[in-house]
Amino acid sequence: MTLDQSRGDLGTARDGLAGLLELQDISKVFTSRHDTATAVADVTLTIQPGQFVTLLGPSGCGKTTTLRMIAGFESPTSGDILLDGTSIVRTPPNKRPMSMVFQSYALFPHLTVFDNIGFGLRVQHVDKGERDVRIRKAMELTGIETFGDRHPNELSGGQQQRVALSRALVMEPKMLLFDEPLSNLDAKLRLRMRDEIRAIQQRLQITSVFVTHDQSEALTMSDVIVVMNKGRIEQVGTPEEVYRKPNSTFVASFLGSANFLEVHVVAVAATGVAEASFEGRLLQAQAGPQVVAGETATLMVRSENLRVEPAGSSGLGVDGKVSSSAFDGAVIRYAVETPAGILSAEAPGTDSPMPAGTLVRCVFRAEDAWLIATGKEAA
Amino acid sequence: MTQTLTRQQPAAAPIPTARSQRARKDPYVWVVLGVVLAALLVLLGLPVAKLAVEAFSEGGRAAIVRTFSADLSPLWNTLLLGVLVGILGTAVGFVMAYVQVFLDFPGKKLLHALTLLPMISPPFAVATALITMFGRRGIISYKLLGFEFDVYGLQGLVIVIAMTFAPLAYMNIRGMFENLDPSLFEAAKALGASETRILFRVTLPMVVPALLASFLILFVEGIADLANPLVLGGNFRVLASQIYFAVAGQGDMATAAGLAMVLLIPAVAVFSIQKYWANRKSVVTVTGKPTGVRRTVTDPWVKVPMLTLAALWTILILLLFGAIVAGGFTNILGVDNTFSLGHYEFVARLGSTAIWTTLSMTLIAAPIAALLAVCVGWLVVRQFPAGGRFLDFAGMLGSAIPGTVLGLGFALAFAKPTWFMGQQILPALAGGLAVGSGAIAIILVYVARGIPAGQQATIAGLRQINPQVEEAAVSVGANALQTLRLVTLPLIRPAIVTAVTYTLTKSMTTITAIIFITTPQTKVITSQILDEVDAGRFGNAFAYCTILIALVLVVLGVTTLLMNAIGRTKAKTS
Amino acid sequence: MRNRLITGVLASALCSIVTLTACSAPAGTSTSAAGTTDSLNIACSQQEDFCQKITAAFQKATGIKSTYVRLGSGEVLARLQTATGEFDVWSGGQAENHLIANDKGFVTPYVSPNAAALTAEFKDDKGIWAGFYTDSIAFCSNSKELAKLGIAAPTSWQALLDPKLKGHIAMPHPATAGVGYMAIFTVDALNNGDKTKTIDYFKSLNPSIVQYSKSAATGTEMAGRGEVAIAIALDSDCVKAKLSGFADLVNSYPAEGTGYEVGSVSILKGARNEAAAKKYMDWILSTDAQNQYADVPSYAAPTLPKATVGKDVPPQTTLKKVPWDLRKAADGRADFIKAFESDVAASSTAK
Repeated sequence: MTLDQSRGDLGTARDGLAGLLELQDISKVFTSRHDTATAVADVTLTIQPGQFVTLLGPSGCGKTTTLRMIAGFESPTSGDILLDGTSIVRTPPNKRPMSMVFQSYALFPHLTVFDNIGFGLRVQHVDKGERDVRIRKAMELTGIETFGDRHPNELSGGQQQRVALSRALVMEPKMLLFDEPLSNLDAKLRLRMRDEIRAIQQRLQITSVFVTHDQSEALTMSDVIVVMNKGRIEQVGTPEEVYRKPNSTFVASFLGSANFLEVHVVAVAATGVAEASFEGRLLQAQAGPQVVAGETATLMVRSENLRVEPAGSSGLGVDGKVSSSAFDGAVIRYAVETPAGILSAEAPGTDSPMPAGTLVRCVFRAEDAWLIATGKEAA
Repeated sequence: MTQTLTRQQPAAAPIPTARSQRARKDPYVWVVLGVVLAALLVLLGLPVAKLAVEAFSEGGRAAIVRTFSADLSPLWNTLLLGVLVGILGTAVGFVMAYVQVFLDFPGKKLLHALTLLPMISPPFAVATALITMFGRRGIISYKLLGFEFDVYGLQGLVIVIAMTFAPLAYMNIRGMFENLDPSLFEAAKALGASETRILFRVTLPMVVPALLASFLILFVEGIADLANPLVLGGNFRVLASQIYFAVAGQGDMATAAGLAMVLLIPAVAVFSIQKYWANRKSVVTVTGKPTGVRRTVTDPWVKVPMLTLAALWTILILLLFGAIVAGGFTNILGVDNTFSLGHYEFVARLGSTAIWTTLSMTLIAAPIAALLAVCVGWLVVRQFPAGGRFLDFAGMLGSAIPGTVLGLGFALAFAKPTWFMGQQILPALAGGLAVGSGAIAIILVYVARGIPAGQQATIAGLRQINPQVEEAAVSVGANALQTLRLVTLPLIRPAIVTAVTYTLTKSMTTITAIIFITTPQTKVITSQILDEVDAGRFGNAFAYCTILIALVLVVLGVTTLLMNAIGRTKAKTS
Repeated sequence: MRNRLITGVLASALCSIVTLTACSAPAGTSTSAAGTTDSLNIACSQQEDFCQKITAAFQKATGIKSTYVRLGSGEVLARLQTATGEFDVWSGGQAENHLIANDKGFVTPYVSPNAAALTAEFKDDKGIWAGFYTDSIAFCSNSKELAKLGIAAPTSWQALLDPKLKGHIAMPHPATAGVGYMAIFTVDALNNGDKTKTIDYFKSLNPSIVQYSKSAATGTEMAGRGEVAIAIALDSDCVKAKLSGFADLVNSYPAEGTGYEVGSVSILKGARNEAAAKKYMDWILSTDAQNQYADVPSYAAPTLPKATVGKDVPPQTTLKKVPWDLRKAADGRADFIKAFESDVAASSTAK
């Protein structure tokens, strides 16, 4: 189907505009003279129409390569990519109904804002009248109506990124691809652009794939987060799922701050609550997948869920000694020396800080603790 | 999980399906690659191949053996000439660049223009001017100063060839000076180093890559030069002139081809080294935006000697180019200095067709060369980053192959139609009988010689453009050609201007590369100059040279203005 | 991967080069453009202005559109080898070069009716060539420079070996300038064909030579300028240079005998306009045409006895000339040039 057929009034959600994307077991191996490096390994993923999916991971995890394979700038070494059920692996990037927004904005420095946005329509031979209407709409959508005659070098970073976004939107693509688009912006602007991008995406219901290494961006913007590490998918899930129920210590520690305890699983109830022993003490936690009684597992508790109580408290938890505390406004952060190593815990900022050396017990609720099967640890 | 492996043995990589997955490049890329390869095949591959075949015939082999055994002197002389030209030219380039970048004095812009002027020396012009001014009976050397200076042979050749090509070294070194971080000098100064010490301990070592690159470029130009050894060689025999004598004197193509092969080896070898060096250079150069403002050097211990050297060189340029202009307007400059328009009348009578032919062939060749250069550069940088260096190398051969050698190859390859699998695929392109009376072969030589400069400029330009800018264009639906035309080309316009102007300059002033393929119907200014020098009529030659210099300047000016104007309107209306 | 791919592409390109070069025209296919044209292409081995004026005069006299390219004899021979049919007629250059061209099969013999008026030394009976001008080798000296050196204008080949002349003589390179070879053959004739003696002479002359110039005229120019004292040259060129402004030039001749050239014309094989070529030959052998030499001006003497001789043309009839065996001159050329290159010129750098 051609782009023209899918054209409609920009600003309303339409069926057929949002695309269903399937990555089937794709791998990318870069071969140089001396060795080969696997950038992406056996990635399988389905993105539903209208979803905002974030590829999250540290640098070098293969997220950008995956995005570039979706865009068509790289071709998978093996595997297939389907859009609405049709393979697009052999479709050149310019023929794929997707538009990309780049980290470096990648505006055409020799063209005005207006011409930058209209570039895609021009090469697709959309006639001038219609072109102008669509450009104006795209400019309104991102709030840059007044910059049409300027050149990119006369704009601020945020304005440039809006132009880049408009340039992608004006094509009314089935998918929007974002390659770390906010990482060149300052902190405040980054927060604002997050909301704007998400709002526009929600309004247009465009299927979007967003690459970032910023967990906060991923958590706030996404319908689905795909956590990647070393070329593989670690976990796919909603922001809540990947945050609360990570299936590996890698995911747990990449998103937010987590404490780990090596425990022995004693029993797993049908309700999903498990009993585990640590240092001879029984603890309760939610059992993650593949956690079975009789084996060891890793118990994960988020710092914000680990409360510091005076020694001898009755709550379930681990005993230790405060090694440092820091007042951070809303919270007080503690580092607590325990048999499991240093744990980080928080207390409300309204409490009075406990001095280093205080004997304490770190307690948590069973529903805040998550057991990860040992085999799931990241190497 | 067993995901620890980021590096795999090639065998373990999922290669089997790779082949079917790969062919997804924009088809236009293949079209461009095909056109470029076909062009390079015709421009360089065929002539060199024909030359090689001829060189390894019996006569050719004998000539090669002789060059390395019984008669070593042409080879030795050639290499010696190359080395000396490289040293002198680079030294001059260094001084002129230093003066231009680090010193402050009135007339800086003028000095810059004068330094570049020898780039448009017509063949023989500087050599004949040198004889007139500094020969045994030269106006300056003998008549003014009263001493006999022997310009014939190595010493004269080195001066003349170094002068012609020193501008290349100058531009190279100046570019590097300007990229040096001024804070380096501030640091050295702050540590208490004197200006002379800074010059030898900081400035000089920092531009060693540029010095070496310049040396190698000039070496290749030095060993390839034919015109000057013919006029000024004395008994200093070099390979280029031996090739000429073999062809022109005996029609002995086999010997000529053999000698050409011998000449080709050091030229291509040195070129390869230089290319390798240039690639490494980009790693070691201080990059990034210079911080701070460059201060000028005021220490008289540096300033005075540097300015003196620069002034002497400039005076030499002025004297020689002055002689060229004056020589056209006097009966016989240095012998009978009466004012005369006779030489210009001669040129008007006999040379006007040559002027128009040269101009039109050049104007046809320049855009073709620029287009090919841009295509090669684009393929190398953007489409085939790994394999592209072969293509890069192939394109650059146009200047690495000595003009004499290339011209000989053209004569061998295109004097008769080209046949392939029983089909005539190309008519005869060289010689008076050829299609277009041999003009096509000459234009092709111009194109081949014009590609490298543009290619280099394009590659440098492209490397400065973030590839994401082009990907952005593709991402919104532009195909490879649209991206090239609408995004890449406008961004590398300066590179294209360089390519066009360089081709114009080089084409209009070349003789060595076309000496074997000029025809009666297609007269070229440079071959007319050769005829006049041969006939001992320096005055007519000087008149031709002056016209040629003026013509090149006018064409350069018009081209630059035009290209800038086009660029501006394009940027506005797109 | 791309790496391998482009290597493959380049490799196949290389292969096709090899195939292309290996493939010549299939047997039986003519590679030279056949057919006729109504214009005449002249290979002209004289000075540019002579070529231009004579061509124009021919065009005016016959109405045949004519073009020329000025090429030295050696260059013409080289060109004939690579591109047969490029020229219809070869005008100028020594008779022996035309003989060489004929040996290689480049000449179509034609006996012009006008050749009957020529004496035997100026024509070939079979019509391979016919002479239309003649001049001789001379020592073209700069009188001022000679005075400075304190010697008189040389009148023998031996006089050139005077040590005072070391580095003061210019001689045309025999490979590119016919005069250079004429000089060698003249000395050889005086040596009764003793090649070793001849080469030895030029070896001993070598220290006196500043430069083996590419063309003969360059030598006279150098002498005129005073860069050298003497140029081995054609007497006609010397006069021409003198009258163009090099006032100090004088001709002298070797008393034991000098060489001379018969500037000739021949019809070339494969001529696309043979009729016009023949007309050109008839015309240049007419007294009318040869009377015009003086106007060019050219200082070579016409070959027709009745043609007007210009007032500055060096007299040819009174000179003592060596017997000029064309056949020998033609056959010996390649060997002499080779010997000159390897024994004489190559000894320069050793000195």
